[in-house]
Amino acid sequence: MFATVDIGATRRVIATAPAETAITLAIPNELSQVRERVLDAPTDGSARMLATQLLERSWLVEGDTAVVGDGVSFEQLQVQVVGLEAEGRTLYRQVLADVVVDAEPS
Amino acid sequence: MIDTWIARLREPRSGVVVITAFVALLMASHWTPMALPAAIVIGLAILRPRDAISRVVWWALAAMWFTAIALEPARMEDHVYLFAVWLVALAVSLHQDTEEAFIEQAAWQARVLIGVTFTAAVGWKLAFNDFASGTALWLFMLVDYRFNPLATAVGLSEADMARDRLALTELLAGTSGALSLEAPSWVLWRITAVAVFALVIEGVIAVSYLASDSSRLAALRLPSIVLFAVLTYSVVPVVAFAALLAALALTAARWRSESMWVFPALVLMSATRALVINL
Repeated sequence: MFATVDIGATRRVIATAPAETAITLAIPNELSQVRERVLDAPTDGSARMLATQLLERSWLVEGDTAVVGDGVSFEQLQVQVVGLEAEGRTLYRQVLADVVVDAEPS
Repeated sequence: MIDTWIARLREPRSGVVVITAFVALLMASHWTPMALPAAIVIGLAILRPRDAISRVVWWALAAMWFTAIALEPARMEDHVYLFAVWLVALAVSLHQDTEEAFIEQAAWQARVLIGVTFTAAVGWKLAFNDFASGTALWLFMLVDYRFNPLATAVGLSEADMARDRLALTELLAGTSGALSLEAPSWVLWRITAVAVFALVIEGVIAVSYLASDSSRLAALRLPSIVLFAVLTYSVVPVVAFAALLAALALTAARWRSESMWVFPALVLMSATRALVINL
């Protein structure tokens, strides 16, 4: 059994595109293995790899969320991996990895 | 032919090899290509049992598993590393010429592997207060539905769990600053007791397996590992790890026939729980 509150199952990957209100991207199922790897080993390198693959896709934006589809491409994405830390029985959020990746100039 | 094969299983060398080949097949659930070498070794054990106990076979299988770990580390869990080390230990033990010398060596290797593994597990948990305080266990009950029966048993209500899950989602999204896990004192007491009890059992396993065979503590080996498996795998079943632990425990017990029930008991219990969860 795991020893700490910060494990893969308690971490989250948050991918956002910059806008007036940041757009949150739904990570597609085809990238679930990459997402799992980022959760298990949350480094800037693994987060950057996921961000790069997200940047290669186009997105359908609805409000402040986006799903993969024939729509817009983003010029820049931020991927954060957040986890937990505990003090006694109080849990706090901690940022484990945080990268901003720009699209390759075409 | 079947009688001969079953009789051969009673010999430590053949028995340990066959049970380890079966564990290898279960471990292939982490990366399915590894099912092929496991199936080949099982086929050898059935059709050419003399070849199956060749140390070359086990060095080769160990090399394949270390390669698999290097190639696909994200697919591997901690017990796969333990399994790979056990394959090396088994290959080393198969260098012994006689059955007696083999089981002496293999039993020592299995005993030390279990002892060191559980010592590391206890040390790791003690190094962080999250576990002994019950906070980690509480959180697992929130994020992993397999812990639902345990959550109910310690007195956490569905309403409490739903409230805390929502608060956890908000915390991770960054819309709240902190989450205090709160419950009546008798629930807190039960959660902490379960966490501490788990630590104590793991401690007993570590100490009893690291103690010498002549120590009184050695009598606690099988009971403690069975209790650990019952408590752990009846909640979160990890069939491959249950099978590996049972194989190591049987080898450490020198492949005595009176200990054989441990393997089917542990594997069936964790497999049944896995089936119930997936239904």
